Amino acid sequence: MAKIRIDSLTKEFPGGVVAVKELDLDVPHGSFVALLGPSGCGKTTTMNMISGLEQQTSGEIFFDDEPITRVPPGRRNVGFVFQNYAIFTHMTVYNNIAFGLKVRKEGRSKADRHAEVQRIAEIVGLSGSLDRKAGRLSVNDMQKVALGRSMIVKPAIFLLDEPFSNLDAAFRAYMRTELKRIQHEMGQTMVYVTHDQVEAMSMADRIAVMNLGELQQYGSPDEIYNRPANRFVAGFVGSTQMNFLPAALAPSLAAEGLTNGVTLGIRPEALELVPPDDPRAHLRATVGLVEPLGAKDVVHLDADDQPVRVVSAPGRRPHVGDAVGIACDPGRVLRFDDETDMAI
Amino acid sequence: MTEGRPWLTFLGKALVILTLGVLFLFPLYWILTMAFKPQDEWSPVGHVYWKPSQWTLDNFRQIFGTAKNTGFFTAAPTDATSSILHSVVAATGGTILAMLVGVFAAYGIARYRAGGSFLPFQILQLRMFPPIAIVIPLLIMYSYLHLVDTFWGLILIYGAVTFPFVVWLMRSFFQEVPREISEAAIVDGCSQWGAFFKAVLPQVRGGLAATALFVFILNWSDFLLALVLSGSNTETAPVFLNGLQSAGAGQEYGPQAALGLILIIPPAVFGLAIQRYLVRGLTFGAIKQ
Repeated sequence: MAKIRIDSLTKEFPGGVVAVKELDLDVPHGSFVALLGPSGCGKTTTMNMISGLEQQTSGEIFFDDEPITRVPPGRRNVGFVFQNYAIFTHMTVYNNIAFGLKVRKEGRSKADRHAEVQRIAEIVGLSGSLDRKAGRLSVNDMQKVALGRSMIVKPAIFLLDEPFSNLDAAFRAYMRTELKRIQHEMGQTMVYVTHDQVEAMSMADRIAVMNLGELQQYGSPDEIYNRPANRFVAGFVGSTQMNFLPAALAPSLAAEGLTNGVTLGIRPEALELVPPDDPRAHLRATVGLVEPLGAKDVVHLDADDQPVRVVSAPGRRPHVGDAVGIACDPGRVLRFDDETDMAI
Repeated sequence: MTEGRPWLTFLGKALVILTLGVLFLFPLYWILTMAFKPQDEWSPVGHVYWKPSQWTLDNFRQIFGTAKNTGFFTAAPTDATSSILHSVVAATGGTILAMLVGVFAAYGIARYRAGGSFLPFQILQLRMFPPIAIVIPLLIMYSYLHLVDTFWGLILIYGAVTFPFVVWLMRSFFQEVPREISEAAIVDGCSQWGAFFKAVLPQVRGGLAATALFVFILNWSDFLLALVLSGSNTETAPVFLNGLQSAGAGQEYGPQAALGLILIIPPAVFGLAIQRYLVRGLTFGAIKQ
């Protein structure tokens, strides 16, 4: 177990690209933190600096209040799971899992090592395939091997860089719950990089949203979802993207006369389709497209040339071209300053 | 055109394969039969012996110094044994040298972009002129360095001449190994060297084998450099083979073919021994990009 403190961490690559800018982050003991952001936002670079694969330009990283910049990667006691597994295909599953124990040469007996490999194989569900060549496994099993290999050295900190993005959807969902269970059992500090906000929301205790090398917001999934700090976070999180409307379009929703220079942010789930003449309607629009998703429909509308998305129950599915009214719970409207993009 | 006549397609394909097969295999067939032909069937005027009228081992006896009847018009018995051994030493040594230097250079270039984008091209420049252009200056240099007619001299030049091939071939193999393979090993506790030897190098076994074989064949079949730089102490087999001619017998095609046949064996054995590594197989397919 370990806590991580990142102190104004900056990484500038030769050529002037600043991948990470003045990042501050605290990862408490045994917590599960997701670094969330679009590709190129600096999350993987941050991970590489935590693991020591990359050296920061400035700033410092502390594990349990010890600065670790000068500690080589192999001595930081971190486990790293890569997006492309990076398993050693020339070895058996057994030797892959045992690799860390072998190279660290921690004075263990062979029997100890054997027992440990068995135990880890049990946890990740590979007991039956220990003698197989790792290169012949399915993609799903390869990621299990990668997970087991980084677990066996009992790392104080577990770093996972988009570990499930190559897996098929069903197995990804399964691994998500498995990982959460493993983290719970082992009580390790985990940092998880992903660009998939569903993954981050469903697994993490805390989410750090990054964009263009800078931390946008750091908070619990609920905070991130319900009280985004700025327009970027609001737009990035949420499976159907938040609607952004100029306040002038729906003055009834823009409180306290704040209509100039303000954009309203409304989650599609907070909107409701009503008849156009309904007194509850804040907006009128025409239906442009309906995406049936089974449990819900996503209705794309056009309100005075502004695109609006509404998530509705499939029971009352409107037709393309229908004129409808949009009702909204004023308590669920967010307001953003147009100048700074920050939440008001 | 052959929608309804698949047998015609089949016939066409078979014909092409057969033609190519004959084209490629005929020289081998010719050298094989020539090696067992008696002297008067080597190249008689006005007659082609497609196969020896009588199979004989005389040509082999000739080049291993065990032939009995000698006369002015028969090939003089010689002994090729030492030249074959010389070739083995020089070609193997040169291959080891080129691989040792080239593999590390290739990894440095592939993983750490050592030397920038220009270095790989500069290395290839070593091969951009015909060897004949450097052979005389080399001879003069070597004579100052007392490297003429030494194994070290041959090994050095073979290593230098084939080094660019090793760098270019191995660089592309290393580039196919994801960076994460070495990074994973490093995070697990390996040093840079440990990661290279334990994690990366085994991933390119197939490439190593193919490159070594290719370079060995180049060194093994070299004639020009050896002709100029070797001497009585180090004469290699191709140079020896070239000497198989005499005033009385002219070109000694039979013994030449016999020696040629023997010279095929080492690369062939080497190739068969590493055949399973030559199939790159699953090694590279297993990492999803």
